[in-house]
Formats: sequence, C-alpha cells, structure tokens
Amino acid sequence: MLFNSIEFAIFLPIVFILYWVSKNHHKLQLYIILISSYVFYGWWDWRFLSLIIFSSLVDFLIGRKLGKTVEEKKRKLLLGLSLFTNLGLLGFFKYYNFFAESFSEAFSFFGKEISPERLDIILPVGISFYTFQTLSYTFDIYKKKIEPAEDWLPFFGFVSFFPQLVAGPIERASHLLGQFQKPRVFDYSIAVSGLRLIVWGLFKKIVIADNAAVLVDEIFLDYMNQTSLSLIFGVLLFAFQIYGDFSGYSDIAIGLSRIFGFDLMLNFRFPYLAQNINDFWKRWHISLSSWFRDYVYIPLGGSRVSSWISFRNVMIVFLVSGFWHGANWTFVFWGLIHGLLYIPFFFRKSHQDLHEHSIVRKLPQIFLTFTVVCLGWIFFRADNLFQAWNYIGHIISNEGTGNYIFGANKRVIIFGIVMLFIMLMMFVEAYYESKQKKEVLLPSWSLVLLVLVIVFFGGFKNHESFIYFQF
Amino acid sequence: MKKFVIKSILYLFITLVIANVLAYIGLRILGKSDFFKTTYLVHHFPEGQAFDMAVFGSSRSLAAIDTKLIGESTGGLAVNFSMDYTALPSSLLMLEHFYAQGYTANWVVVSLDLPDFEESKTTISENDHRFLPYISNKYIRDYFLKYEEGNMIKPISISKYFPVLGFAYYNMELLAPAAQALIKPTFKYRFDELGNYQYPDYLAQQEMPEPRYFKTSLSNPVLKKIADLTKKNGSKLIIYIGPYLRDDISVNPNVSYRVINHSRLINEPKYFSDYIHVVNSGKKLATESFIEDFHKIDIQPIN
Repeated sequence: MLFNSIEFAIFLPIVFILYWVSKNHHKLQLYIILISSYVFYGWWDWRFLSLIIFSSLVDFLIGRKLGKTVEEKKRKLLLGLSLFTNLGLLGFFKYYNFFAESFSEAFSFFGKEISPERLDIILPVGISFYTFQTLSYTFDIYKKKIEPAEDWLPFFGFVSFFPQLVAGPIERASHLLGQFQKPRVFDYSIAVSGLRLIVWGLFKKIVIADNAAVLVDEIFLDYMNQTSLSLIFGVLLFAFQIYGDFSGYSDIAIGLSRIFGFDLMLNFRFPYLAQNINDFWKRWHISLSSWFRDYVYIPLGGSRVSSWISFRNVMIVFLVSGFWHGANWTFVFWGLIHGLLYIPFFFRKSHQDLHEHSIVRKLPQIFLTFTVVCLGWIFFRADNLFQAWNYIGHIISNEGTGNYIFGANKRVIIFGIVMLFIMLMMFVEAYYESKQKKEVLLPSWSLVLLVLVIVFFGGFKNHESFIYFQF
Repeated sequence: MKKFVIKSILYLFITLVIANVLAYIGLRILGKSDFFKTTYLVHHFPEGQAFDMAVFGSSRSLAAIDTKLIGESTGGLAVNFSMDYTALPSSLLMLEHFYAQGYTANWVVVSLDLPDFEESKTTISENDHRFLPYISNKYIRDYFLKYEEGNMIKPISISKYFPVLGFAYYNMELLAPAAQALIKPTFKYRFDELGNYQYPDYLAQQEMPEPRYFKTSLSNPVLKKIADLTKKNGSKLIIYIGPYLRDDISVNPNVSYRVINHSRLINEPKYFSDYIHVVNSGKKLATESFIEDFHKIDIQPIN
C-alpha cells in the first residue's frame, strides 16, 4: 500500500480510530498495530509476510537466548545465526542474480563461458530496511546495550511498524522497541506536528518527485540524443526527484508515527544545504549512515586505529552502503565516489564552521557539494556503469541535438512547475536551517495552501511507487 | 484526541471545498472556451448548425483530411473533429457529443486506424479528459464509467460530484489550458476554425520501411454503434482509412459500410512524418483523393 494512494487514505483513519479508541488496552493497541502493519504490507504481496514473520521470530528467539547465555562462544554463535538468517534472506532475494551474473562475467573475462543460473526472484519490498532493523536488535543485545524483549507482541510490532516498514527510517530497538512496550498517550501538539510533516512529505513526493520523474525517465532513456543542457537538467531533476521521494517518505513515516504516539528518528536534515560531503552524510539517510557507523565502522575499529585502517574502514562503509542500495555495480561505484570525496574531509577533521547559519555566505560550498552529489546521482540512476560514463561523456561532448523538456509545451509546463516548487522547498528549508530547526513544520494555514498545491500541481496521473521500496 | 480529529476534519473540509470550487471554476472556464475540440464543438457553432460533413477520428484523420479543401469542393460546411491520441470509442463519444448539441450532418466520416479494425481497447484514451467539462452529461459519464480504469475510485467518472478529483488527476493537462482559456477564450489548441491541424513538411521521413499487410472485415462492434447512431440522426456514414507509409490494408468487399480505403495511396516517405501521419504535402494529396472518391461514392443507403 502506498502512502499516496486511495487505499491508504481509507486505511489510515480506520486504523487511527481503532487504535486510539483502545487506548486503555495496551495489548489490544499492539494487536491493532501489528495486524494493520501486516495488512499494509500484505496489500502489496501476502506471500512475503511470511518473511517478516520468520525474520521477527528468529530474532525474537535468538534475542531471548542471547539474554540468557553467558558463555561468549555461544553468544557469538547465536549472533552468527541471526546474521546468517537475516543476511541470508537478504542475499538470496536481493543479490542472488547479481552474484550469479557477476561470476559468469568474471569467468567469461578469463575465457571460460559459464551461463549464469538466473532465478526468477521477486524482491520483497522493504527487505533491506526491516532486516537491518532486526539485526540491530540482536547486535544491541549481544553488546548488552539493551535487554531482550520478554513479550513477542511489542517486538513483532517494532519490526513491522507500518509507517516505516518498507522504506525506513531504519530504527534501533534501543529507541523504538521501548515505545512499544510502554502505553502511549495521545499528545495533541505532537500529533499536529506529525500531520504537518505528513503534508510536507506528500508535497515533496507528489509535487516534486512524481513530476520530476516524468522528465527524468525520458531523458535518461534517450540520453544519447540529448544536448548537454538537457542532460544536466536530467541530473538536476533526478537529484530532487530522489530527495523528494525518499525524504518525503521519511517525513510521512515520522509524521504518521507521531499521530500514533511514536517517535521515529530523524532521517534527513536538509541535505542539499550541506557544505561538504562529510556534512552531507550527516544529513542524508541518517538512519542508514548511523547504522553503518554503529554496526560496521566502529566494530572495524572506527577512527581509533591507524590512518590507513581508518581509510579502509571508511571505504568499506561507503562501498557496503552503496551495495545495500541495490544489486548493481552502479550503486557500488556511487558508494566509492562518495567514499573518495568523504576521505579528505574525514582526515582534515574539518575546521569549517558548520554552525554558520547564514546560507547566503555558504552558497559557494553548498553549490559545490550539490554539484558533486549530482555527479554521484548519475551513477545511482543509470542502468549500468557504461550508461553512466556515457551520460557524463555526452554532457561534456554535447553531441546530442534533442531537448526532451523543450520538445513539448506540456513538458515545459511540468518543468516550470517542478523548478518553481523546488525553489520554494529550498527556500523553506534554508529558512528552517537558519532558525536551527531540524524539520519543516509549517503553520496550519499554510497547510491548506500546500494541500491545494498538491491537488492542483501534483503528479497524480504519473504517480510512482517510492524509489526506496526497491532497496 | 477529539480536538485533533475535529480540527483535522475541519481543515480537510475547508481544503476540499476550496479545491472543488477552484476545479469547478477551472472546468467552467474550459467548458466555455474553444480550447479543446470538445469545447470548441459546443461553443463555436450556432444552435442547430447543419454540417455538410463532419470528420471524426484520431490524429491520423487530423493529419490527413483538410476540411477547408472539402468545403470548397462541396460548397458546404465541413469540420474536422478528430482528436489526437484517441481510439475509436472516443470518436463515438465525440459523435454523441456532436449530436447532443442539436447539430446535424449530411455526411459523417469516421476515420479508422489499425488497432480498431476488429475491436477497440477497453480503457480510456490519452486525451479523453478533454470531455471532463461536460461530465454531467449522461452519455459522457456513461463512457467514463465503462472505460475508465481505477481500483477504488474512477476520478473522472465521479467528477460530476467532486470536480477536484478529475481536475487533480489531469491537472497538468487542464490547469494551463484553463489559465490560457481564461485570458483568451477563443484560443484553439492546435487546430483552426475548421478543426484542421497539419504536420510540417520538414518532418518528412527519409526511408521506406518494409510493408506490412492486413485484411479486415471491420467487425469492431463500436463501428456498428457508430453506424446506428448516424442512421438514427439522418447522417450518411463513410469509413475512412487514411494513408499509411508501410501498412497495406485490404478491406473485405462485402462489408456493410461505405469505405474509402487510402491506406496505400501515397506511400512515399516524403509525405509522412512517421509511419502513420502524413505531413502537409501528404495531407493535400490525401484530401484531394478523398474528395475524388467521395464524389464517386454511392449515396444510396447501406444496411
């Protein structure tokens, strides 16, 4: 079920009413959350519910066993079992075909032909998100940061919580599980802030991302014939498409959680106002980058090792992070680019004043950072590395003669509308950044205006699934 | 929580009321303008207008038939009501829309394209939203109820009651036209006074593709409905198959329609902008041939 669908518009009020009507029955509330989360997920494909249930059950049982086990060897074994199960599921559904093809290509390179044994596998929506969430639970118990859940119901609710089930933020048990275990109280001001975030998220998704997608898809499809200008517009629009899409989803997820009395972690903090790549990664997909920091980078030694090992650790995190996004070398290369761009700032231990809140003064750095981020997006969006390099080559050579956007009045109108609202969004974000806020919470009257903008300028006809569902 | 629910509903209600009012105004502006063929058909001609010939079809007949030349030849009023990106069911709807205005036509020409020979697709066409300003008319609502896709809500079909639904769904196609129509209600989007539009010659093709051959008995049930409708309204129907660059259509001679089949009439790349649309020079040739065949056509009623 998509947040921007009629089905969800019917589903949400029903769940909301049932949930708060049973506010005095904590257990019943949890059942409502769990069942509605399964309905939400099952709307897409019931068969894959079994994966979530299986993953939840395995980590619940392992967690309990870990809590009771003292012997280190056995604890490691249990952790390994959790890793094997979760990463095994992820590896099979997401990466099997990629590895099969890559091995085949590697053998072909050395002159031996092996036909890849491709399997017709459907990628279960959100598997990368809930797998990482359950893994964090087992890791934290193993490190004795949290106690294992005694009751299965809050834990299953924590794993499958519908607002963030399919595209994050990737929550930690230490932050979210406890909220399931305690009774929740409705807080008017928090619920209102949730509603504001939902509207802002819908605006980013429906007005910016969905409209931009119409143009981006065609430009990338016909990139060989497009002029430099058209290709640059293609990347620029994709940068805002993916931002509007993903951060829009996160805003809606956080907002929804608030109206149900839950607090989710911040996932985006105005990333296109970042002053360097280091800063960018403190603002973009925060729940994933902090997950890798806590469960990959720090266990590898973090920065408290030699410079060379630190460099290796940073690169591992970025490469794995790239690979997490999808079974394609383009994502790995995207991670590599960001890793290489991150390293200088990492070692310089930047003395830049990132707390300088005058956006105007920082515009050159912001622009430069955005430009290199856009370079990375070409690899992220391309179907393969060859296409990405070719795309860049065509930007430089300006060989094409076509300009998709300016080829039809309708596209010019869509382009104009998208650019207008991108500027509006950036202006609003810059304002909130200058006020040292972490999220956009517009006043109530402007929400009416924003909903009207969504209604009259949203890309409903071309509405697309959220990009990060596929990761 | 009560306060939250009440305020949310209140804000939602206010927003929906404003959105519906704005959408209603937008559709009214469009409906009163000449912007689309659907609205031009309603407003441009006096009540009870008698046409000598009215042409219905898709972009192919829009490209191939010049009603100015036909009018000059027959001495009557000929108008092209063809609309691009539409299939045969849309032509039937446009014909119903035409008769619903109280107009009459001596001759009705319905252009037929390859995908519609035996049956038509069961979804709405790309530009059918241009009928949205008249969604309160039963024949238009019935059409959308039959053809519009939608799991839970069919936005155009229920736009009679909630105009914002259809308007929001097709906002990119309706918002700018409504703004343009507000400034200049007589503006016509890609057609002239007689409904004509032409593809410029510079778009002409260079190469001749391999020909494809098709046979048809014109068994599409929508054609039968069109025939019944024209008969009921006293018009004589001609089925027109316009020129194709690569497709050779052979029509069963026993069909019960008057057919002008020009599928292989001018199959030279220089007359085509692609495989199915003629450019301006091709249009002239196609129309001249149409006029020639039209004058030869048997005017006796056909069963």
